[in-house]
Amino acid sequence: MYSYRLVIPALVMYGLVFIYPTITGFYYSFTDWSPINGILKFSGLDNFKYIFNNDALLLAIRNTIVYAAICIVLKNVFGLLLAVALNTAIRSRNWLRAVFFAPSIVSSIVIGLVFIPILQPEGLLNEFASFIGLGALRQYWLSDTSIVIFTIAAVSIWQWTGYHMAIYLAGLQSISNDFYEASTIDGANAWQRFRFMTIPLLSASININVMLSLVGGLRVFGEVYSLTNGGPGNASQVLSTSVFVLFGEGRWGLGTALNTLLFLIVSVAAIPLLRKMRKQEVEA
Amino acid sequence: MGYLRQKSILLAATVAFVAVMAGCGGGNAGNGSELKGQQEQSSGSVAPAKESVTITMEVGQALKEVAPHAFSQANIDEFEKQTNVKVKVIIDPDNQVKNVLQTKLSTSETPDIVVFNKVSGENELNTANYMLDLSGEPWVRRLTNPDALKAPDGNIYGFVMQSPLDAQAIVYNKAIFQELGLSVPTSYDEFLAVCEKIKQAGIAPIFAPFKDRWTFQIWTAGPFGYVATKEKPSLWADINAGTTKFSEVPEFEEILTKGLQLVERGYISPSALSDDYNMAPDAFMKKKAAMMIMGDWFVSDMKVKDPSIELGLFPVPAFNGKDLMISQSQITGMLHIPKAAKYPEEAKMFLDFLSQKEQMDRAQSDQPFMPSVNDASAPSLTPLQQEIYDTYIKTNKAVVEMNAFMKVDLTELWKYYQDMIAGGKTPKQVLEAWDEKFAELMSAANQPGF
Repeated sequence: MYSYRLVIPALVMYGLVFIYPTITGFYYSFTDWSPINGILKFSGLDNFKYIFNNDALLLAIRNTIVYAAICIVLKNVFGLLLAVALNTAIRSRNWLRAVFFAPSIVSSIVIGLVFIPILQPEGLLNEFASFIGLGALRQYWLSDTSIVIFTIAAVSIWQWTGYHMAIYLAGLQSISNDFYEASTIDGANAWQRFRFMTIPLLSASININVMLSLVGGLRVFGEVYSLTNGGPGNASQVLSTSVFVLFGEGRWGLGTALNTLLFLIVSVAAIPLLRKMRKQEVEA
Repeated sequence: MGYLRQKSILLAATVAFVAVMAGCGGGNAGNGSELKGQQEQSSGSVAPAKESVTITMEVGQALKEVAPHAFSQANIDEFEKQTNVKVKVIIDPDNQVKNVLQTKLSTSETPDIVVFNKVSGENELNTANYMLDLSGEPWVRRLTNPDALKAPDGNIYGFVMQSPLDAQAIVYNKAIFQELGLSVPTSYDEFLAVCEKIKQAGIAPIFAPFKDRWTFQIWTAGPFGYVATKEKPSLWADINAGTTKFSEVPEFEEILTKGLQLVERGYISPSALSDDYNMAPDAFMKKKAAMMIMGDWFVSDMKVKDPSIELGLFPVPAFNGKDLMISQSQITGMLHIPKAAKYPEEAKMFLDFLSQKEQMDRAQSDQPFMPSVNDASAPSLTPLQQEIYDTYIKTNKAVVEMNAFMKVDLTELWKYYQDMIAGGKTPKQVLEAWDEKFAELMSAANQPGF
């Protein structure tokens, strides 16, 4: 057996770069910390009361939840469908896997910059819609306040579906073919095999993918920052970009409180979900 | 072994001590004799450094482009030659510079010189708290307008080489105006008539890059400034004292309403919130648009991109029957010295050096500007700068933009303008929402009255 002392370096690093900032973050979120105030003052729950009474920050919370919900569902549905499709014996499957995975290795900022001209009113997407006779679908994708958050989510889904596909593929390839042969002999059709065998046996991959898309969705920053910078107005502001704005305004205490709230939302959503899903895992 | 180890440590310590002492002595002797001669050659007000040091000067990327005079490489080379003090310029990305400087100032790990716009520095960097008071520096006596550099507390916390010579206004394509037989509008009604004629000719009357948050405020800058300068002289002071609210000024709502009407009447494209500043040159080069709510810098940019296009300026015509005025920006690119600077004396020396005629003239040769000190040579202005100076500044038809009087960041107001253009807020709601946000920001900045 190895000595417990081998854990110390990693523990120290973890403590310094995660535990310590998190705990001090909790502390600062109850203060009026700012570059203007020379002396920190304890402000109780004022920062949190402000957050829940401010329309722009409530919109940011709503946008974050909407964005995360869309991303969780669609990244996983499309990722799973792609994985199932590319797990069959088609000739170009390796090439296609690489193509679908490729966007996930590019920075979100770069993806955002590439998509801005595509999503412009006279951009590729609208022009293509007109070209194929669907001109009625033309939209102000990034400047219509009612759809902008969905546009950003769509770009994120395009970028990350291939990544989730890769995890599902790994899961699919670990399922023994014996199960499928046995179920086929028992008379199960393709849908029944998928619903009652593939899905339960993929539960570990599903858990990982749901967790990653949940946490990634709630902490989204790069996509929003590069595509709209939270605009127009505050229409696409999310929690992380709002924290960035508040720090820019010099309202560090309030920004830290919002960041603490984000941490709590991620924890409250992720921990019970993780526990529930672990119980449902089936060994292949 | 123990004896040998002790001897080795002692020997190493002795060698290190001798080396350090020799280095210091040599350096001092060398610099001293070298600098003595240089001091005799200098203008007399720049004292040489006692030892070789490097001062750091930190600035945001865009500001270095907007106010390049303090960064003239020829001046920096000359300063380094004369004083043996090196100058290192640190450039921060624009979206980070405020955070970086705020953090550095609050942790006392500062550069020796911070270059920041005057009023923005007072509001965002708390210059009165973190920067040295430079009111007693020798160059202050030679400033053309020392009042312009004074902070609200009456002290001067920075030096700037140039006086403002910019103009925020409506930029227009002279050729299109000529082809359509249009003349420069002098009232809001005339402006609407001009827009209508241009629209009927199949050209977009106004290109509006409202995706960039800072752009719509140019519509308000001159008219708001007119109200505050000509009609309600204590307006900015009252607003900053918390005794008047933005929503209580009916002229503000009227000006916003008129701006919004341009969108509602189709003189500004519905795609305005998708369009940014970088798309404007194409719109002008292809004659897709005739006007833009912008400023002199766009005319200068277009001179480079397409010299064949002749652009002109006129004040934002948001009124009927009132004087129209261009607005000018706050003092840009002010050089501050933080209290926690490592080499404050050398930084002061650099500021004094820049204020001298030789350096002013040298920087002017790169790009003409209106010098801030009275003994520098008169500038040879570009035709556009000359027009701005003759038509507006000399005739007192220029006001300083609202931003220069505000003690807090206005980005949130600009977002409300975007909301208004997107149909999410009425002009009244914009002003009411801003009143609320303004009070919060003023309170967070510990301003009295909030």
